[in-house]
Amino acid sequence: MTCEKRRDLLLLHAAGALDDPERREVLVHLDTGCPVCAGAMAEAQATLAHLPLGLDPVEPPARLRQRLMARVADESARTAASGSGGVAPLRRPTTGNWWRPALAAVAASLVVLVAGGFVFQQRQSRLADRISDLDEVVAGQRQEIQHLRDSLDGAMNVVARYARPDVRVFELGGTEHATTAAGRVFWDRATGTWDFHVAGLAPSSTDRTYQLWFITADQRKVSAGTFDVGADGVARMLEISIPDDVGVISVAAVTDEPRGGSLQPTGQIRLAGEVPAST
Amino acid sequence: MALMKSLSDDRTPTGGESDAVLMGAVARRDGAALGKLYDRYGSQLYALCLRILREGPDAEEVLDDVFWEVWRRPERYDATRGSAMAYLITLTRSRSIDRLRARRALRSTSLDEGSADPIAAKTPDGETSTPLVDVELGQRRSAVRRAIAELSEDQRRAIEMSFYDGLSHSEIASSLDEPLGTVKSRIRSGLIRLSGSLRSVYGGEVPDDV
Repeated sequence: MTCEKRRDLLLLHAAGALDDPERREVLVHLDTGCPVCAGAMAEAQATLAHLPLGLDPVEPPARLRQRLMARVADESARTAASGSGGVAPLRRPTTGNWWRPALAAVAASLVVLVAGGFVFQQRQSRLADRISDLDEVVAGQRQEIQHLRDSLDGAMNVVARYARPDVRVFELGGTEHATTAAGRVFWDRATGTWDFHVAGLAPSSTDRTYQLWFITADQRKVSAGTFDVGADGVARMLEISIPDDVGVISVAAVTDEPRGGSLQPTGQIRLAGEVPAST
Repeated sequence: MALMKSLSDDRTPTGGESDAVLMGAVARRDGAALGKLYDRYGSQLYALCLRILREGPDAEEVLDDVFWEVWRRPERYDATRGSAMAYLITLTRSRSIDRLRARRALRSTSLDEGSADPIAAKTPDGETSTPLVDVELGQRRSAVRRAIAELSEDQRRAIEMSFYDGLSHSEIASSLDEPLGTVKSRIRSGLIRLSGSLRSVYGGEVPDDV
């Protein structure tokens, strides 16, 4: 497909109107860095970003602004209180008999010369130790580099898998209990598994965990497993097997549950999303 | 043309601080700058939230999330990729669509914890308009409305169902009981027409280095 013909797809993609196969094709092409399509995409996004200006503005409740600015002021105050400042004042030179400081300087120089030789030897010894330490650090970093290379290879394999046409993607949005959370499921229909990625969730506590649920068309809730979220708010569950007998899954949801999970959902719903039809 | 002058310059023609200056100040932890951005765009973004979510409480939460995100993570705005206004609108739409999807999913299950009655374009305090804070923004609004008015009813509806309701073109086709090719054609032709009409509005906002 030429870039000129792809321009129409880019418009639809910017509007979020593409189905998965076409969206994947567009994303793969944009990742090549094609300048023509990148420019067309930027123009399409700029067009759509202006679309809401056609709506009549609606004044939000005044308390929203008050609450927002109070949070900002509170956070700024906490940040300022934890900072440190101050500059050491300059020392002014003292006056007095000129020869006293000169004599003191000569005496100090003699002490430095005598001690200097001893210090030099000590320093040589410390440098040798330092070199030995750095050799260990380099060896450790080489191991880390190899580990990162292995991780990158793994990640590239995952990207290649997600780019397959038989992998469906759908999203989970955060509810009022997790307004900043967002999730994405990559459904590999060839293997009957889900890869679930989530960000923006509050970190798990010692006695609570998160649980992912398959919710069927006839309202059965089947656990897809539990997961914990670290300080960065991110988690993933890979290759979640979809039970053969679960039937048609219509919704995926994440709830907050006691540590170890629950047989049925008991906690607050944090994310939910509709599952696209399998065909 | 006045419309060609982006809000990314230091001062707007009416003397207010530009979006670029305000975003830079937010990055330097200037709370007053965030307040000015809220005053400039809050009502437009709130209207966008209401259009997508059609419920006041959800719309209020998303609006709060958006500005808190701008405050907490100013580094996510990249001035080389577009205007601050486009960034705010895109972020607001994204968060609103996420919330809409979660709500739709919950309402189709018995996990639904109860929901507010959907009210079309609810205006909590009974106000439906706000005095324009910024003349340039008002000019842009007029230009966008003229451009939208030039679309056919079918084109406008298809674009709005995609942009505001988060539906794919196949979902729109199913909802309208129209052929998929017809829906795609309407969205495509409508957006091409909008792009042509609005190019003079955002002319300074598309990055030159793509």
